[in-house]
Amino acid sequence: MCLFVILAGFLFSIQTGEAVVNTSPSSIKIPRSTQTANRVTYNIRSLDGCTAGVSPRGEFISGGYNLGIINSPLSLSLNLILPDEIGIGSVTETVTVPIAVVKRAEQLGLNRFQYQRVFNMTGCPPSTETGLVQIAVTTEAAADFSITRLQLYFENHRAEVTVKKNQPGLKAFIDIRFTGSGLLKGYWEVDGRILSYVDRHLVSGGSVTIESPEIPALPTLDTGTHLVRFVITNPIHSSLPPEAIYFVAAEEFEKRTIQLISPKDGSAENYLPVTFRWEEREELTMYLVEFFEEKGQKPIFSAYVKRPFYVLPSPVLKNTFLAGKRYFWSIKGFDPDNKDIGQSSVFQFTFK
Amino acid sequence: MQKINFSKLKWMGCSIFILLLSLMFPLYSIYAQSNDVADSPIQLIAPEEGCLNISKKAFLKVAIKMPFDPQKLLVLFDGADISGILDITPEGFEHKATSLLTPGSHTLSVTITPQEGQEIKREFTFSTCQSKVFEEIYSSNEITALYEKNIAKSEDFPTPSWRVESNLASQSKLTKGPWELKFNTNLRYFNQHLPPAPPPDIGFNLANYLFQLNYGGERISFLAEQGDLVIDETANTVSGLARRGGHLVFQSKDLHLQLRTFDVKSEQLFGFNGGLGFGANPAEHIMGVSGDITFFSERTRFRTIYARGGEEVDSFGISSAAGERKGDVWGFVWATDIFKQKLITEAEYDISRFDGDTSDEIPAKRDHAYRGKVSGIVDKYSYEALYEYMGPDYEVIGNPCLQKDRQGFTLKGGANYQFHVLNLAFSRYNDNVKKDDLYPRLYTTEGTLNYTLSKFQSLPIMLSYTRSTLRSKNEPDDLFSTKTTTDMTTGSISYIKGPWTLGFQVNYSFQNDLTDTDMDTTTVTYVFIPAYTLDDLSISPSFSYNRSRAHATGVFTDTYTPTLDVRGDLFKKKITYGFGATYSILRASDDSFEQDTLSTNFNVSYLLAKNLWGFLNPSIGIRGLYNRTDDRVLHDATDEFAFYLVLQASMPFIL
Repeated sequence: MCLFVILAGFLFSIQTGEAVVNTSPSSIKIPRSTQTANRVTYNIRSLDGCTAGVSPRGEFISGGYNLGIINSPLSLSLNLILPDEIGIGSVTETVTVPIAVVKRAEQLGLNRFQYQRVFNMTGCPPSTETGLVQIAVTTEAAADFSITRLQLYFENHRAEVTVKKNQPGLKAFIDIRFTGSGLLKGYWEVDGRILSYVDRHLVSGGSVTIESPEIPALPTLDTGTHLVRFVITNPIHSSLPPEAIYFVAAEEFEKRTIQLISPKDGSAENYLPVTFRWEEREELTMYLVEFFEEKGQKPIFSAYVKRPFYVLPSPVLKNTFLAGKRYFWSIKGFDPDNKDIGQSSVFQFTFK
Repeated sequence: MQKINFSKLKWMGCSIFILLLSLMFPLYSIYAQSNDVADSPIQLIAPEEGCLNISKKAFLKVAIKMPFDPQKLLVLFDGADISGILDITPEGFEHKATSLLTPGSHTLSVTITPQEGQEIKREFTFSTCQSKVFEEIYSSNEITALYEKNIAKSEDFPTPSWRVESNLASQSKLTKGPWELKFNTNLRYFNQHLPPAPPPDIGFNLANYLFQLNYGGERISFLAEQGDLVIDETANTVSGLARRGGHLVFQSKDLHLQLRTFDVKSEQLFGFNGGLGFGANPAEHIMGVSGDITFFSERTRFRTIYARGGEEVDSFGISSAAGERKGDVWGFVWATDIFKQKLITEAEYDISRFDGDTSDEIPAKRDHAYRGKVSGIVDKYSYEALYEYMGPDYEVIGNPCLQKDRQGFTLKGGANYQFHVLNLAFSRYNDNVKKDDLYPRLYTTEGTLNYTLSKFQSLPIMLSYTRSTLRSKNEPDDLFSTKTTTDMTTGSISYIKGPWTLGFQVNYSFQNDLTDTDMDTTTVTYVFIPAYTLDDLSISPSFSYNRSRAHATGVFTDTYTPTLDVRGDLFKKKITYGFGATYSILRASDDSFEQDTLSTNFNVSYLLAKNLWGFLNPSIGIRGLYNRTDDRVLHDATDEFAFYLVLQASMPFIL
């Protein structure tokens, strides 16, 4: 059946013996209730010396019914190839099928129709050439693989964010709304530099969120405004990719890594005043030791010290910690201006 | 004459005596305690105990009138041990608080161990506010100023000869009693030699702002927000809507009731365009009201929402094929959490009316959606079961990622052991929920397995496998037949040791089209990341290789992408530098394209002064870029470069 449709499209596309209009693609499957933009290329080959063609509008038709029009003229010029004076030319347009056209077809009990362009040829005896695209209407999941909506944003859900210089971990996200199934190919780009390529199969229509890579991360080296894009190369997406901007402030993002020494991560300690040790950093003048029952929660106890170790006092041990229980600890470091610029990882320990 | 009952009198006397004693005892206790306090060897000198002190950074001074061991001194300030940062004096100790004190009550607990004898402990309380009128008032600001001058460039490279940018980042807060006022913003100035492609526009731009007024009373609370907001209501109505506008929230703790209303511009805004965001025109705004009422100590919650509005075509950060549209939606949610997260239930029913293209004569359509979810966490295990239905015309303004015309279920289970984390998911959905004969019905079945091994802290391992199958039924003819399976496998392993992080990741994916069109595709990607990170030097290279293959044509494309990012500083941050580069090599097996692309940029800057006049950090530097594109099929190579002189300054200041 599919071959029949392609063949029918091919036969429809041949209008006269003097010229041939081939459309690429010759048939498309669109979703019933979402507007999609489809790139259609008309390749015209004229045998009678035509030099140009103009189509005032495109029409959606089925049998005797006109389901809608696109009032957008399209013109192309043909290059004459000697000695036979065969004219060859092509033109591409983005056809967005209005939802109303699909609804009208549905009301007529149709699930397929054609998109037609009639070109008035010039530079030759008056003639018209017609290009046709077969359009089949189906559900979003069964439609051709196509992108219907893109939204680019940062963690604040906006397409704009302000960060500090050399701030790590800046990420951009793109919500991709698509129809059908296929292989998505695209790349992340910042100020024209490609950061990484994305190759991913998408299945069954719907939406997916893709985040920018951790390495290489969005660069925060240069102060000022930077432009992020996610450029899609497959499926062919006719709209311009959305852009998001981030501003890198001149103030440096300062975070020094503090290495924890003991107790080792995951160790079991006697229920006694334990000594917690970490690597001393020259630029840090004060440390904050924090103890947690669970990662990410508020600390159950904390202590400020100037030296790179802390002995858990007996009264605190008895009042705050329980034998047989698991705890987490980490260190923050402060510079002479009391700016929090140091951070360790989080280690776990258990009191026997 | 009445006879006096001495026995009664005796009991009365005893009772009065006991009563007097019971009255006297607390008075004596207070007297004795005050004597104890006066006699205590630990005395708070500053701040005065119990009184209201106006101080942003408190000064603590405690006198200890007996010999004590400083090593065994334990001082807890609001529960945090500050013994290690005290200044021990002959009289006791002093401490200047290191950070801004939150307004309110503070506790200082001092425990000393005399050289002979038992521990002596005393607690003091005092309260602070940060100004005479307001308890808390501050404004933290930072100005960035940048001037960039192009000093050399390749011919025809479209770059402005100069550029000026400035940004004021401001965070302000004011608190008095239950009232709190916050204002955060980024105000930007932009100008350059060439006309820009906005945003940003030439001139001043309000990149973002948020104004919040909060009243937190004991019985009622109130929040008014204006600026760049995120509105989150329910999954099937307005969800994650980040726009500019206004938001009001009223809460009555007695009635267990919360009422909200919002009005935002449907277009995403940048700068001063669009004003304050809210307005009455439903074609350009999204507005709504919602309410929550809770029962049984907030274990059960009922929420209802009504939202309406219209959306235009593309806006900042958004690209869409859809036209102008409008609609409204009602949503009702019933949620319970009776067994402390062990059994959480949620049911939602929604009705929408939506016009997907306001320019045509087709009227808006009404449809509905519903879902039910049961989930919970029991010890190491988690589970979730979800059933959902979306009508074929169910669409919502402000939530364009909702997938309409769909019904099915998802089952999830997880186990989180000490070193092993396992997650399983299974789902089955179909479209064409009304079984319209014009269209096929497509069944999508998907199973996912994720496993993470963290037994070796420096060697985390992750594996993931997903299989999806698509099968169509009730096809009107063969054209609509779909039969596809997709297998996706991902594995990653990292080695983390000191400054080194070595990561290796493999993604393999195969989509098997089982219909006559046989449009199979395979893609496989290998990524290797050896990163070295110190505080003053970070080197992050990455190497990735991808091969994608279209089986029908037999053509495969290879993409090789090495990248390198280096940043660091020298001489205590006097000099900072950075370098970034990507080299990508694209090859097609049919020689249809063969392209190499190189993108590089670098910068070096020198800090001219640190905290000049107490706040100014100016620096001078140079930045540059070099790009090369070489199309080996068309034999077309382009090179472009540019170098800029950069003057910049950061100016942080607190008011």
